[in-house]
Amino acid sequence: MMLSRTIVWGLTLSLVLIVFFTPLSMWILSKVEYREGLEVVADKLNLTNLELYRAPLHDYLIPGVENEYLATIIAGVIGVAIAVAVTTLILKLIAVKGGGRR
Amino acid sequence: MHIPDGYLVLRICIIFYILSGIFILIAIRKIRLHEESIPLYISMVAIIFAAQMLDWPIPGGTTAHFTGGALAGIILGSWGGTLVMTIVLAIQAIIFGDGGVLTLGANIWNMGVIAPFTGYTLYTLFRRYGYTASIAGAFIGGWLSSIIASLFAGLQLGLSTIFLYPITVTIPVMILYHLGFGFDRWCGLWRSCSLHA
Repeated sequence: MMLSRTIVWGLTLSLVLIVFFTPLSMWILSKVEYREGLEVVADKLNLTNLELYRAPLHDYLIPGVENEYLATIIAGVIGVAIAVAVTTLILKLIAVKGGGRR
Repeated sequence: MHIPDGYLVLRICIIFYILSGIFILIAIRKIRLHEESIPLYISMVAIIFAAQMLDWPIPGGTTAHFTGGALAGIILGSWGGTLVMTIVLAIQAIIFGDGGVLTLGANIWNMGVIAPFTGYTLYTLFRRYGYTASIAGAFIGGWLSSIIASLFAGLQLGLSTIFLYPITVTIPVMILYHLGFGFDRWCGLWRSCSLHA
């Protein structure tokens, strides 16, 4: 199961998206004037952000990594790794509980 | 579309935590785990997480980003989609501060319940008319799921500011900026790719 073709394809694609396309999109955004859609809405409705909780890798930045692009890539890889780990764990738990195994 | 903390009042946060919680619990019970589907879940969670990191400028001066809700629903079914999106959204909020922790319930509702269900429903509706129709269904499902998710986001924001602005202001604002892109339509491309893989 670990090295199933589906997983290899999925991880490869996700890696390509993180290592190539994400920095590309960041670079493109750095060249244009833009505002996040939600920002526009927040403006119109006078909404303010509440700093309730400080995430460890807030905004996909890595403490100690100066380069924004590199930090985002590392953050992406970490995120995918955690996501895969959590998903595997949860699916195993569901399977163990006999969740609809056919 | 990840709503940060502070944008929604506590009442709304709680309501949508409850709603999402119910759907997540049902999803866990209803998911059918075949031996073959587990790799697909893992594959999808990786792809969706990665795809969500992209952000593109669109005409109008705002940005569009792929949420993957409809894709998750189409590939994994509604319940599988909810499970995967919940995992992605929770990690984004807790580890990366993408979306608030109080608003996580609402974000899961929009992108993890509404989007997969809409995508799956449209896709399934069209699929019975053949292969080409199923592709169209995927595209339409992706686009529509984005609209309806925005509708709910607008509703949540509107209900939170109900004494300040009417919903007639907030919902159109949210929908209008989603009408243009509906990036989830690209999930249709993946669907056709996966058929040939």
